[in-house]
Amino acid sequence: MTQDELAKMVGARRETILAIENGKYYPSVKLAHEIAGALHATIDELFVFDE
Amino acid sequence: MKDNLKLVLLAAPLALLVGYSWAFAIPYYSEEDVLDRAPGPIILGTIWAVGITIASAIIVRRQYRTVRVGLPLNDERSKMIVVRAGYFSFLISIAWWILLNAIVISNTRTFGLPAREQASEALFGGLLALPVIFFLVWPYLAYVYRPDAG
Repeated sequence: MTQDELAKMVGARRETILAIENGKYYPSVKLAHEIAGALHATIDELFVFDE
Repeated sequence: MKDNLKLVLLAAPLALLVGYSWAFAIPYYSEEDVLDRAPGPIILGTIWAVGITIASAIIVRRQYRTVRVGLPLNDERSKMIVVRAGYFSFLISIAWWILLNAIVISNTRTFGLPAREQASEALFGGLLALPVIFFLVWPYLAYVYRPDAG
């Protein structure tokens, strides 16, 4: 799946997906949930929060 | 709101701004020896008009491509950048306004105007500062928060 396709599926801009991938932006819970749904994964599997 | 309508609402004021910028710059071209008499307005006016035209073209082209491929014009990240740009430009413009008024009140610089006109110029200068600062801070923050920043 490309960034464009994922962006379309979750209603976000491609730059936002790129920023999330690069750790430059922390998405809202809603967007994180939508991305997880689009990728058939859980939020815990996608995002790792370092203490 | 449909993204096509949003694009029109973005492009229309930008086109107006480009038009106004050239409308201010062009009359100087017809004056003879204007570059010898008063080079400042024509040079600054032309730089401003060219800059606004190029910036507007880049913005509209990028947004048009975004709409064409079916992506939204705004999302939570782009809105966050706009909100932060508004916050910073508000603070900067308040500081600018206080500085401008302090200069006028203290009479350290008269701008060659009588007191009443000077006060109204300071008021106008303060009001004008907010959108001008906003349109400088916005692209700066877009650069700072660029997704591929190292």
